[in-house]
Amino acid sequence: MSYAGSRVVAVVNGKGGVGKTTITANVGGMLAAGGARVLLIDLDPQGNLAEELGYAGTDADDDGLALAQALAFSTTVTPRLGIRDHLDVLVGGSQLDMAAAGLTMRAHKDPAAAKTALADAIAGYVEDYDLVLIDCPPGQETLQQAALAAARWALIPVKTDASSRKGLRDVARRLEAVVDINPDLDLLGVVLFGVNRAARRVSDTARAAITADLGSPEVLFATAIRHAEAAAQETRDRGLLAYELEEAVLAAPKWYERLRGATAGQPAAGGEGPRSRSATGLAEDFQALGEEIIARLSHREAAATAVATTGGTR
Amino acid sequence: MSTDPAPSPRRALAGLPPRNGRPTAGVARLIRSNRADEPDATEAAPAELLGSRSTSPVVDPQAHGGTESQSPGVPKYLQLVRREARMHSGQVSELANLTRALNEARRGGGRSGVGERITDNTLVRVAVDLLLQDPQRLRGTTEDELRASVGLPPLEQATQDQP
Repeated sequence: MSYAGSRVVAVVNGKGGVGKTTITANVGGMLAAGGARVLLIDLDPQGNLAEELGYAGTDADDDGLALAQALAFSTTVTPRLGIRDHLDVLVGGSQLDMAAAGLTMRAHKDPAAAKTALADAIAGYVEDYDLVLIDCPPGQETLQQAALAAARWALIPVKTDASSRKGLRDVARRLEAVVDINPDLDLLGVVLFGVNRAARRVSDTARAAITADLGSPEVLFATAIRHAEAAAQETRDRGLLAYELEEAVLAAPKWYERLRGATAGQPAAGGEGPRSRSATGLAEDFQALGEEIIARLSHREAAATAVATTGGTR
Repeated sequence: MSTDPAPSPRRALAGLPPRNGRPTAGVARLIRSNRADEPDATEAAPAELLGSRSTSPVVDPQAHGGTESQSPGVPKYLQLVRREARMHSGQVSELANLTRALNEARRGGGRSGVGERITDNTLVRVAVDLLLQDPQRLRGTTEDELRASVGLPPLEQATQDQP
């Protein structure tokens, strides 16, 4: 038996720039490319998921207005369908600042209703998806709590620096704030993001510190997402996910082919084309992380099913 | 500028077990428990439909004076009964477009405008009343037959006709 609630994952950390949006987009995108039905929820007023997926400024991009109205006024909101095959998005953006203010006001009157605003808004279709990933804002406590109240799992990206790890402890406090209304919320894992692969000692020190903070080495994913500045920048510039950029780079003319074309009097094909070869390593990392996430979800769902079955036969 | 991704990606994540059946725990359970204080469709049905066993918390707008959406102090959702329905994806997007157009016309370029906020649910209620106005017209044993009896094209054709 599997159940819908187990497949809503809030990607959360109280600090910005730790890879929440990039991980949300790339893991979600790769799963959708594999045929899973995926919904991404951009709960960040910065709305950067739009750049990651390339719909910024298009008709699909309402700057978070529909989602903000749903949160502030307890209405439902329809996802933008087919941003990629099998991939739908609840679009975020600056309008979510208004939603955060509205939720803060609601929280004064009815704290539980403010916390469950997102869960209520997506209740009509959340079970239609194989996986739902929520890209949480770094600040905006009410929005973070709404995300955590709607989620079964929290996935926490951190960088190796101490302030990122402090953000991790802030998340623990946010988890405690919603556990009264969402006692099933659990930690899916912590993933290191933006790791310089040459700085092995820094990475090892961070792993040890996180393990000490959380009391268990098992919560850390073995995969760390590498720092690849050029590829990260080019993916956003082109609105491509890492694996899509990798494919575009591999399909683009090689340097000698471009040179040959230029000397033969043809336009320099691909002069402005994709060129970040580090996209391959980045795509490898996201694939490995996605495989670990699938394995953890499958394992924990199987364990929950076993417990439920055992309990039911007693 | 966006470059189209290749049709069959080299990297794709597979192996996530597909979901089946209705949810029994997690968020759905959470949502249900959080709605414990909110009437579900059955609980909230008007008393005259359920007889004496109903303890409907739905507020009668007439008792508060004013119109359904204007009665002071009573949120509109408390005046209405929740009834969820599955719709075709084309209907959902067309309905959203229509709602948006009506609200834009209502606001006339301003922020608030006149009248009340139109939602998808508002239009669904209007459509239901339109249907219930002359229920004898409905004839048939399939959705397509029912559609034909009220002058609508078959579903497949309607889907193709949508912009």
